[in-house]
Amino acid sequence: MSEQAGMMNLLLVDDDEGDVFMMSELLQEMQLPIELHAVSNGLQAMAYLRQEAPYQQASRPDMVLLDLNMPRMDGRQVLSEVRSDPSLCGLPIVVLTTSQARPDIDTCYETGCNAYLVKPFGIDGLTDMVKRLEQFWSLLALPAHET
Amino acid sequence: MSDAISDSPQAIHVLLIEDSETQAVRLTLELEDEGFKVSRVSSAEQGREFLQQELPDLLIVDYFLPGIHGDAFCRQVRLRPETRHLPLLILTSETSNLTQVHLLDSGADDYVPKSADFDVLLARIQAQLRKRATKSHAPVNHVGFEWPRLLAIDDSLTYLEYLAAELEQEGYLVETASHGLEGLAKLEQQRFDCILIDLVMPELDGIEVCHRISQRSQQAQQPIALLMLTSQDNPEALSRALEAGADDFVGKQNDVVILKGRIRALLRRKFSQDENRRLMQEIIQTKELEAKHALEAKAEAEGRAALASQLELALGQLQKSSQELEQLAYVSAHDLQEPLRQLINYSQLLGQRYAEVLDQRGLRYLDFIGRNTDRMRHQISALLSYLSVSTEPPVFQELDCRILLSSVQERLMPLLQETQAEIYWSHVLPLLRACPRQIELLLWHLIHNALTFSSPERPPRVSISLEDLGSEWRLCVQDNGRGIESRFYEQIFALFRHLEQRGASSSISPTQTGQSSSGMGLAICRKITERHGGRLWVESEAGIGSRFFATFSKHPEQVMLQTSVLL
Repeated sequence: MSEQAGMMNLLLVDDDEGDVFMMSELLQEMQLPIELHAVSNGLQAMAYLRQEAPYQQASRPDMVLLDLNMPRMDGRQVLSEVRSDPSLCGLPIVVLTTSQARPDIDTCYETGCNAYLVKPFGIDGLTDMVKRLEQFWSLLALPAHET
Repeated sequence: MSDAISDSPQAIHVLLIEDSETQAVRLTLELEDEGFKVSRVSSAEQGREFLQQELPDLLIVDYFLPGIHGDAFCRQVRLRPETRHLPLLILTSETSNLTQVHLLDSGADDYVPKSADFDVLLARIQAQLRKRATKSHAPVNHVGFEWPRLLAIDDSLTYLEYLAAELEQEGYLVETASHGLEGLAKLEQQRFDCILIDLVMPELDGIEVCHRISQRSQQAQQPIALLMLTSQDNPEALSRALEAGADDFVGKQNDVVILKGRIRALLRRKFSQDENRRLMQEIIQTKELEAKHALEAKAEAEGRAALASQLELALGQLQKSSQELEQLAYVSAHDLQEPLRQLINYSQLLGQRYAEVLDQRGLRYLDFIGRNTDRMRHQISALLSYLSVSTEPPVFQELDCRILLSSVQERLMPLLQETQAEIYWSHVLPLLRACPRQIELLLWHLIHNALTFSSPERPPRVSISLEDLGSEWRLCVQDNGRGIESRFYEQIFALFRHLEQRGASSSISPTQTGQSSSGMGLAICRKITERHGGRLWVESEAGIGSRFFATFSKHPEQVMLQTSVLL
């Protein structure tokens, strides 16, 4: 995988093909310095992060966008496993889900997510969110990550 | 009126037993002048009958009466528990010491010489009534009171005749039988209190008769005093008689006074035993009745408890199924958002990227898709908001409504500016113990409602007050809007209920206000008040404005346990 300087390597973990496609469509149009990778469940996500087969070539992402409700291994389990893994625990993780339930939000922050976002309705909201994420990473998360 | 003697002597009922007409009329008039009620009879036998019907408050009895004399009558009155307590004065012309002693022996309370002034009699009467005034309880059971009845069984007719005359003179009702079988036959037909039996008789001897009567009375549980009459001293026969059930025995050769005394003693004992038995029975009956009542009460309480627990169970099941239903509705509504979101996103993307490719008609199609997906989105979000009131556990805390009101005002700012509305609330509002999220939601809906249904003639003015009513708080949101007709008062709180055509109510689009009028706002508000143990209602005047009242319990946690969420 190409590792361009200043490019944000973003891993999207979502089982919904429509959401993944929408994200790639928008990123393509917005021409932000973001390189998008996507996997569709928690097991794949852990394999990707640990560069296990078939992701031996994968590079460590700068940020993970994590859906909560997925088959096989859901977002909560991924979050908890990443935080308890010494080699991964510093990874910025943003939960991106449809759930607005208070318990979900609380649990995710307690387990150590860096932000909790509700999937927006409408293109404008979505575009806006992606822009902010990129800014968040480049202005705040990146310096912290590098030191 | 039993206690009043001097105050209302008219209540005092006197039975006068006097055979002399002149004497009787004079006394009656004098007594009636003093306010007494007087009944008069002219013989002891009539007096006896009178007492079987009615008990007076006082008896005045002439000593020398034809037939039974006054002293014998008095002894009879003293014998029965029913009449024992009656004050009794004897009128006499004899005043010798012997007579006086004799009279008082008979049980009379006092005696008055006929020669004495009426005043003397009156004074004696008053004295007697005063003495009795303290014991006001009437004889227990006057019904069934009967005069003592005697049966004498003897084979000597001469003796029987003599005995009957002596005893009748003494005030008894006397029957006779000349042999044992006749006596037993009479016993079958009539009730007797005392039976006198000759010890030695042909055929059935006295002991056998005594034995049979005693057995019979034991079986019937009607004790009868049995007195054996003996002509000679025969200790062996006497002890057999006592074994056979005789209560006492008297030698025929003795003075008849002794016989009378024995009879009186036996009867007194019998009557008091009767009375005791009656009282015991009454006590037992009362106890049984109490036990029965207690049992009934217990059964009733158990029945009620069973019913209550059934009801509780049914209510619990109802609540559970209603909760499950709401949970299901909540999850379904929540899951519907996902496909809807993509529908919205992709139709927008289509509109953006392919605007040039599509013709006018195609763009119109997309417009309809967009409007309806929007509408669906707001409907679902309102439904979720409604359901979350009951599916999400509320967190109760002390609330300052002014903070919530400021926040709501800020959220409604675009609508406020557009409608030139003004919102007022007092600087001092009582603290509320409630769920902040829900109260804010309620305030938002009520104020939004007031702004939405404003009058076309004037800008909306909304004033909010909160009152402490002791056991609960009452919130009032008052507007100057177009008002609601009273027949719609309940309809507006129902789910998905719009009184006006969609779009006609307001020019404000849902995206501007952040929340559309989905027809669920007031239903949500009502649910919130119910969750807080309160109510929500409206008072309104068409063209003038409306006042929405919401009450909140001061102990919403307790309410939560009792009433549950019902759709």
